[in-house]
Amino acid sequence: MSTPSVSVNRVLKLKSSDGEIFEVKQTVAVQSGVLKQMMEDGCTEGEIPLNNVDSPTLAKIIEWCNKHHDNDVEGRVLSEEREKEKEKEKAADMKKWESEFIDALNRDEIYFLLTGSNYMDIKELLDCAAQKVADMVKGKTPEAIREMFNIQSDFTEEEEEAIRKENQWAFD
Amino acid sequence: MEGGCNDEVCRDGDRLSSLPENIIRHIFSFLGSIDVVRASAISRKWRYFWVSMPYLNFESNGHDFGSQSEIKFNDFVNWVLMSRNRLVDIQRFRISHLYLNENYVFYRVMDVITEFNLQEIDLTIESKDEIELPQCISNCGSLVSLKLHFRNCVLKQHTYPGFSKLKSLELCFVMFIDSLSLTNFVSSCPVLENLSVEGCMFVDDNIIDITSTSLKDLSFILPKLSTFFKYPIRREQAREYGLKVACPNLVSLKVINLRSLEFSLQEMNSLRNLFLDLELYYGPYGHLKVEGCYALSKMLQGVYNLKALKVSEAFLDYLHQAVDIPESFSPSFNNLKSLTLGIKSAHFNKHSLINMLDCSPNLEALQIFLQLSNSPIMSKAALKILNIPDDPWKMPNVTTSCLKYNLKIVELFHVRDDNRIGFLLPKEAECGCAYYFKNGAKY
Repeated sequence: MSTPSVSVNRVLKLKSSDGEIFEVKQTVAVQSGVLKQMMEDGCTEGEIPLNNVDSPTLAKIIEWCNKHHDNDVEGRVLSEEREKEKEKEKAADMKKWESEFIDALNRDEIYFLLTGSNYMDIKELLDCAAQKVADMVKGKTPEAIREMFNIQSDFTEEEEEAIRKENQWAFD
Repeated sequence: MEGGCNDEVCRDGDRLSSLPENIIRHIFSFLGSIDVVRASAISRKWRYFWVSMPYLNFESNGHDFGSQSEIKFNDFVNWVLMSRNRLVDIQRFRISHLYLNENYVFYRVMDVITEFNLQEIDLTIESKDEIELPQCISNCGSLVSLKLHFRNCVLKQHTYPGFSKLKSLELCFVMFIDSLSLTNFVSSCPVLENLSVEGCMFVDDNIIDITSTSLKDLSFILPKLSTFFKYPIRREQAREYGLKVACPNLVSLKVINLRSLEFSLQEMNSLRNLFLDLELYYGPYGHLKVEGCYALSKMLQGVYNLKALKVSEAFLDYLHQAVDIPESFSPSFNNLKSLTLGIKSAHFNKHSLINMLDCSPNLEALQIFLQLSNSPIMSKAALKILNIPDDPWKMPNVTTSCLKYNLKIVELFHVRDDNRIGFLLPKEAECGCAYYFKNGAKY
């Protein structure tokens, strides 16, 4: 283990913004850059308040981390070639799980997941959620994006006309 | 919901726009630049993200030389670069399909982007003229990764030193005037670690020499015979490139579609992974050319630290000949843990396989991919041949040590008949080795 303070059986107590306590194994929690840093600094005694993450979001984040942790410890080391093959299979399964996980969320939940994973510094989850939003935006006109996300335009008609003219290629 | 909006919808509306800017930028990094520019018309909040994106990603949807849309696309690229916030670095610049009527368009774009502490370039280019990499690229001290994907165009001899930080170089379908151009290119990159050369062509000289002390990973995929090149290479020339690799720190080497007998690997002490896809080369009387056997046998003696070896069937055939020249064949692979074979026919050379196993006492995993012809009749017939009980080939009674002690896993891909493994492991019950049959996996 690269971080001696992390032990397999120890758990962290995470407190969501609405006061719920979640228990997470240290070995799972290292996926969060913030929690990892706290463990290395040895300040994980008691409850760790996560003031920017509510309990439904934290539950989702922990579900994600548990899944990705399980995936890491499975299987044993044999030979590099075979490991690679195994990894490919596992990666494909994981991709499927990830897209089901993210597709099942509504827009609100994705929003909270984005801010939550950003706050807790969980890169893979942030990437996955950002990719989901990017896929929703891709190839859409500004009107379609506004409608999809209920965004009000605060441009005057003239301003909007000017923007379109300026970047005409993008709007053809 | 007359008289104002429902709370849920309003909050939902605020959501995307109220994300912190770094998250919005992160979302945009997964999109093409055109989507980012288009988003500028959503609302004021979104107005200027596009001028400060660290990732630029231009994708044109395919058009002809000199067409209206080509000119517009080039204008768009220029416009985005011109409008850019000069304080924000460009981490990655990707352009897919820059159609060049005049190469100056390319040089101008390169001039601009290299002023932004550029780290990664990924270019797909089609041009009528030869292309020269401008000095601004080789002088770009921040550049870490360079990918060049050419479409029927030639890269001129590269003469400048530089590339002081370049770690990864990927060349796809680039035509070189001569192989020396590639050699010089590689030796002008002092810290290059990954080199991938795929489908590249060389007009005159046909021995490709890769010499580098920093290189760790080399992938060399030679063009297939069927690959059609318009200019300026004659097809018969495209057949036999020789390969000479001298990289003392190389860890992984992959060579695909090597047809020539002229290959040599030197200073391969650190090589751990070798993937060698040889094509058979027959002499005038239908015999394997003996030069190939010598070359292979010589090469194998230099790669004694291999951990994983993956080879095509031709390798076994050459090896078989090489074994008949005893003074030249004495490799030993004490560290080899994984051996992967791609077999095209059920008659593959089992003697050679056993020879390989004999040289590899610590082998743990053996994978065999049977790539029989696609037609079901052919593959059935081939399997039937495998099935003949009085197969003239028999496993020698003296079991090779890897079969006895270390081999843990045998995987057979596309082999449907369970009995066939018998030839390989007559005493599998004793050696405690697991074996699997898999279908659908690719070699």
